[in-house]
Amino acid sequence: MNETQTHSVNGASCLLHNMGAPMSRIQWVHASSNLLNNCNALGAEQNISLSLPENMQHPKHWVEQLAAGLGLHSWDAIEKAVMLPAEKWMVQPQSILHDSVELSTLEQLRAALILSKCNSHMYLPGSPAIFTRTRLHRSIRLLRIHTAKYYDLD
Amino acid sequence: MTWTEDYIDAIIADLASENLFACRTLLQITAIEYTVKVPSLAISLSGKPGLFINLSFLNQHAATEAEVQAVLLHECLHHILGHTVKYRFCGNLLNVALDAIINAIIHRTYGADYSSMFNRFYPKEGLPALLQPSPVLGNKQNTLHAIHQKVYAGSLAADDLHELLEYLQQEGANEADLDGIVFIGNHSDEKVSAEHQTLLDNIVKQLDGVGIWRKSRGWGKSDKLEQEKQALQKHNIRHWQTGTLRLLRRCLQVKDARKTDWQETSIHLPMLSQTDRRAMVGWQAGGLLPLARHGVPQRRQREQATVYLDVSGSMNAVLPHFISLMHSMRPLIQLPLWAFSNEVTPAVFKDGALQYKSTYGTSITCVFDHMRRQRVQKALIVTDGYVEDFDESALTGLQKDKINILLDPHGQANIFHSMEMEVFVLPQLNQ
Repeated sequence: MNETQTHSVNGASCLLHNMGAPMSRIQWVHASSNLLNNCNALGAEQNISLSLPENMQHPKHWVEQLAAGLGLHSWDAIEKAVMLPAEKWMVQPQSILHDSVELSTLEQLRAALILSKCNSHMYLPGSPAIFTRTRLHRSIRLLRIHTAKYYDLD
Repeated sequence: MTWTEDYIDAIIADLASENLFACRTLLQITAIEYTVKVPSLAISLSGKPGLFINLSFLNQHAATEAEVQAVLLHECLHHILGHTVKYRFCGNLLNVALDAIINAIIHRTYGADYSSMFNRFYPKEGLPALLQPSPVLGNKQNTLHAIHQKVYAGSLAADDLHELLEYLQQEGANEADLDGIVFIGNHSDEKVSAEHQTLLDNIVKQLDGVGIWRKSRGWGKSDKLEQEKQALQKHNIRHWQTGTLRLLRRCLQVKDARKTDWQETSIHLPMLSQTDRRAMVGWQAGGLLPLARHGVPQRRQREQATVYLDVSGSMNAVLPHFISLMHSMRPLIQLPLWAFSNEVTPAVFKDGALQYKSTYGTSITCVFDHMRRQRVQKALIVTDGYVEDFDESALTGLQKDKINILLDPHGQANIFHSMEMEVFVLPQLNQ
């Protein structure tokens, strides 16, 4: 921390100070900053929610019916047809009215697959798809924070 | 609700993924078997670990996924809390005490969505009512009601099971009263193998104990400790604010006689005031009309303080705190405030941020030179004290007693003390 040091020159003591950089540099410091409200640091984000039928008996069967409507009759075919994010994302709960969201069948299928791989905190692309009503009924925002951008490391 | 094996498998996988009550390890090692040999469900850890589920029980009693998870958690908690090891003899009275504690933990932690099945499943009267979170207990003064409240509020936690049992026995409860009651899960006297006991011990180590034990551990979600830390930090922030405000007020001076502000001034009049409650009480007690304080707006010349903020490299760690502090007190500060490193430059607040120039070096004599040039009589210097040595000649033309030094918690005050200048050292925020 101490920026001064003493040197002895020809028996006399003089003090050298930290004279800093040759030119002043302009710096901005926010009065208060937060990782989640720093727009530069937030990467692409997606809102995911589904409108589930009330009389749905088994969520997995419902997803299979959706896929069958698109001519996809096996899980291999579904995985090939639906592009899912390949990286881990953070999950943030959202308050979206399910009825207000209108999605095409393919979008519904994609949302269902993403939600089936999300626990309450993370989207885990490598985890098995778990089809429960609790998971599919969530309204979430997927987001990724670019720490390099946040700290201006790029 | 009609549950299928496939659906229950998915619910168990979801429960393991969320790791409620650190049950993931237990659920991952147990092989799931759907059978009618158990009345509800059971986890066996005596040999090969197994989770036995009677699907018809779930179809009959569990209406939602949360309720299925509650039943699974109920069984996991018996093992995690060591009930299967501690209590070899299982009587109905003991079963009620064990299950009441567990149901209360689930209800307290995850709410009515999870515990609603317990309300439907257990009898509503007598001792079994302790097993449901919202029983209909007629006389609110009776002892059963009192003990129910204690159990579900967490006053009687898992540690107090013996106490609860003794209490039940003192109240004259006997096992005959509980004949015919059906309990959820396995209540047989079954041993746990040494290998699985180690596994259970490791699960207990993962739990922080909040909502389970009366005194939770200091890791994980340790709410009380966190609250204490926050309270301490709040206290220290308050100390920063009051200390800085006091110094700023000492440095106030009129910079521009044309600029005025409305300020409230207190005057005392023989007339009651809504804001002076002390006078109101005095009048009611003594009967004499006292002089009450009244706030009167008055136009006054604007007084602001000149602030020099050290923006050298050594201040980097604490600078955001100081900038936030200055930002919150900017009505009292003459803007632009002055930032100094090896030179003094103006710094402005713009869009919630402070823009300043810095060479990242440090020199304080440039501040004194600047004060002389600008004819600043009073000033507040915010610094960490790591500046060059200076003598009386550096302060020529300035009044030492009108220069206030605000030092950061790790700052060096020696140089200012040697010059007999007043220094206020801020406390550390996290201690």
